[in-house]
Amino acid sequence: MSAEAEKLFYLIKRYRLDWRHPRELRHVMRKLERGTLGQWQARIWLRRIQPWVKEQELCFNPFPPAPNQEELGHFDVEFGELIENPGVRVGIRLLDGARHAIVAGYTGSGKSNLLRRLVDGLDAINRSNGRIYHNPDS
Amino acid sequence: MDSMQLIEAMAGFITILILDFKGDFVDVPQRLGRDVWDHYSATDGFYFGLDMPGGCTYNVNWINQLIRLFGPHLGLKFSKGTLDVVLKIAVNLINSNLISPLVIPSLPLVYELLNTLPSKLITSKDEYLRTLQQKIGYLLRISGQLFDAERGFDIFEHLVNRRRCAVIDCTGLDPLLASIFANYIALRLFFPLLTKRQTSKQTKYVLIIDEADILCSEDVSRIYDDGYSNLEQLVKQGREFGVAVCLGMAFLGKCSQFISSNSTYSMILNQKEPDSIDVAARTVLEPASRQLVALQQTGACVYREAMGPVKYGMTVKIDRVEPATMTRPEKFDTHPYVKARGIKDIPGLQERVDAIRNQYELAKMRIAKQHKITNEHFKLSKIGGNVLSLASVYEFDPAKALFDRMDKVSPQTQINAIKELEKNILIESNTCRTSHSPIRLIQITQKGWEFLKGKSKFKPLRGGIIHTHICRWIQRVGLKRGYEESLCEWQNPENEGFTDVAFKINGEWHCVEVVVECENNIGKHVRSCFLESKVVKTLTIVTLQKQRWMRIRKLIMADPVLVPFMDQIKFEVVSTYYNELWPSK
Repeated sequence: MSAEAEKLFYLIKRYRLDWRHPRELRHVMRKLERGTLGQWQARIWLRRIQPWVKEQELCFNPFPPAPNQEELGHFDVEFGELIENPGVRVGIRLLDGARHAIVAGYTGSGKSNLLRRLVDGLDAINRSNGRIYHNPDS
Repeated sequence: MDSMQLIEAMAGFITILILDFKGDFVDVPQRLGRDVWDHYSATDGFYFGLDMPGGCTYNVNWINQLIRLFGPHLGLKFSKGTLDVVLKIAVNLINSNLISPLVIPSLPLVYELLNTLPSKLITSKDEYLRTLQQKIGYLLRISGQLFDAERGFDIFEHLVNRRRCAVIDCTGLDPLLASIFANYIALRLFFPLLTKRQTSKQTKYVLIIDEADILCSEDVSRIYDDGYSNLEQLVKQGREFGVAVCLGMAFLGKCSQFISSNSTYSMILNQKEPDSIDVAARTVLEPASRQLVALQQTGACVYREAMGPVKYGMTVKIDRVEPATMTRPEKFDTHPYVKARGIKDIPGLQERVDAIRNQYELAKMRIAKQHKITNEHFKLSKIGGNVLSLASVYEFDPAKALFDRMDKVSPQTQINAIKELEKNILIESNTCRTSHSPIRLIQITQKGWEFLKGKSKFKPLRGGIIHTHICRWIQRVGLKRGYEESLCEWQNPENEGFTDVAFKINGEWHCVEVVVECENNIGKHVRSCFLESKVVKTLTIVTLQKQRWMRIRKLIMADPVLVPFMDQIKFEVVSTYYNELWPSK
């Protein structure tokens, strides 16, 4: 394996890029594992992953790419949206059983805001006589 | 509505109860509508009785639950039994016909009965009763009007049945009271559901507590005998009964495992403390997310739904809700309640209490008569009689010092004399193993004083014979050294903590804590002396042997907040005081 390919493999693993961008890096990873990625191809990919590396260097995000609404399902009380996939709503589910939640955060990080948002959502359910709606366009 | 799709029309009414410790929810009733929301204040017009919640009829279980709640929070150990007895006697006294539902006495009435009923009837040792009186008295003082009701706030009666939600303003509550308050709410919500087995597949009750750090910390769990508080029990078992708990906390590092491991939704906002960052990363099941957790911006969180369709954490931007700008209202809502009644207010109770006291006095006289008959039958030996009378004059002197005051008595005769007195239950004796030699201690029993037709000049202290003797020796040393004050069982004026002995030297208080067996509460004493009070200059810990110093030092150092006070903590052995009082010839 060329030095460029080795560096590429190291960066992908170091910053979990194969985990963060599985679709884009699937073929490259296969070639890297087989040792068949050429030197010039490795150079191209090194340039291509630069923004992802910078992003991870800035703040390491170990999680896989954000899911879409279909994968995530719908929530009975919503309180926010995914940062990486704006428009995908996130919240808590109430109808299929009670679930507890912990909100942990340093002073001023917004935990009271989150709890207030939950209270608003729960109150909205009470006011609609227990009916829960969701917007299929969201 | 056309673009909206109806998913479910079966959610039913969700009773929301918010404990507001910081005032963040002060505007909620006003903003969301007073037609559904009530706004109570724990310090104004809100009452708790000890009555059974939700129309339960499991009387004994309820009393056991009350003991389980109040015992650990008030720091009761052996006195828990006394509280149990008083509660059960009180229930019997109030309810002439023991038919459910029983009237459970209010806390002020329990306190009154503690001061009225004969002590020997409700406790095996007077010191347990005194502890209980002090603790309940303190709770009643700091709680204001809160417990001044026979029947008070009931979640089912005042919220669930009326389809209402409530914010309870708890700002400025004493931490002890806040802890009792939150756990009592959890108990009153969970107990009826559990005993009536009212399971639910949907969420019916939501309890929201912001600033719940002091309620969820592992330290709170540890004070309970079974290792979890009522709030933790609610989190652990409440799901099945349709109870959802949302807890807001600043430091995840100190959060109890019961809470963190039973929470389905973890919303981790910015964390700054290293411990909390580690726990937060573990909570979202991704140790590598530590940097992400620490670098999040305001209003962003790492969100994870355990057993949800997506198994991993996600970063979420939370919708902004305008913060509460409203000031705390001057008047809060009130709820119907039955005011606490005293002994004289309950028809026939005074007579029943008097009857119990009379019965007790009669029984006491009968027993005393029997004792007198038996006392007349035995005659003490000359040595035994001398030891007993010397022990009554020179109380708390060790046996060796007493025998030294007599003519030469052989060791075997000394042993026989002590055995004779012990056999007749005139004295109790114990051996105190110090670093150089064992010291035999004797203390005259109640029967011994009756035999001598006298009584002790000293108030009984907490602890066993050894602890009592050492405390009295140290007090005597303080008097001998000419300190301004030398007191046993000194109560710190700034908190409810007691110190075994306290000296006042040049206007400053120097405390002494005697550690005979139990070392676990030493941290509590140090906290009481230095953290919760500013009047104590030094604390001396007295042990029987030097070898225990290291272990005690480690116990104190284990609590990071106590480390700065290590310079003010000294260690001594009992022999130092013993040799000062009875120097070896």
